[in-house]
Amino acid sequence: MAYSLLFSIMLQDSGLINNLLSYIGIGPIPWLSSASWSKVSIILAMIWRWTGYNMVIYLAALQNIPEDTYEAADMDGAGKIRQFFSITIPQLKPVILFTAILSTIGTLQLFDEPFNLTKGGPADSTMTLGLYIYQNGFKYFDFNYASAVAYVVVIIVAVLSFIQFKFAGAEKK
Amino acid sequence: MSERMMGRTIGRYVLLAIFMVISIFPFYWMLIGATNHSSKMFSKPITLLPGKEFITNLVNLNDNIGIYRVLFNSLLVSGAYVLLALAISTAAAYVLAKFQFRGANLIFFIVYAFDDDSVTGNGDSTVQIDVEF
Repeated sequence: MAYSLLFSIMLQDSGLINNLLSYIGIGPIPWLSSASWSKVSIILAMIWRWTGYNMVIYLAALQNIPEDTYEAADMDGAGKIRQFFSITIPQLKPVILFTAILSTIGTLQLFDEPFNLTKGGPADSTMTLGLYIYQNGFKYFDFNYASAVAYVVVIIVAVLSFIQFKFAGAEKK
Repeated sequence: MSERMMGRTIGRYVLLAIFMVISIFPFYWMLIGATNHSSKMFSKPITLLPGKEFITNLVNLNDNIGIYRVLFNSLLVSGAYVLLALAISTAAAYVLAKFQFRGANLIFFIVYAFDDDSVTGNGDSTVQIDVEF
């Protein structure tokens, strides 16, 4: 929330990012007022926000892979790359699935970032389901429609959660 | 240390340093913004040192939205929420973990699937919606 306000200040036409870019000769980029750049802005802000969170999850998962599996692979003559694909990736599979589904669900309900950065514009180019529900419900007071959309989101999220639940659950046994 | 190893180590640290700057810089910039006049956020050449306007900004903020009241509200809501969530969630988790009963998995899945923080809302966005009205 606070970070998206901060990013909206930094990404203004005469804001910090454009000022910094002008030092290396890149012209002012319409971060928040062009249909394609506003998407880039939201993606950049979200990457900045969530990298640390996902990194901690991966860090914990990586530390949980027993050292001896690597040692055994070493003795069998597997190189670093082979070890990565045959040990690290399979061991991380449930966590990769978890972060992928969680990010997808979180992004489906994206609200703060487009609300603060672009208000869904220009011309609905950054409209998200979360913002759409908010606008219909609390701006146009069309609660029926808003709650119908909200239920569609719930169904999508439930299906995605179910997929994750199935696969990650099966791994644990 | 061989030359190649040395190069690798330096490369690794340079990469890590770049990422560190990217992740820390917005926080630093927030500090700059809090202690400078608002126009400095959009000035060129860019301001990179803290200024002396912190108290002025704080007074302005308090005049606009009553920041202490807002902070107190947040504290109250999150404090009450933590206490209630701890009491209810630990009890519910205990039941689901320790007892086998029909429908336990279904209940767990419902809780899990419908756990949706944008619907329940964190304190921040509730405040934002109030301000919007």
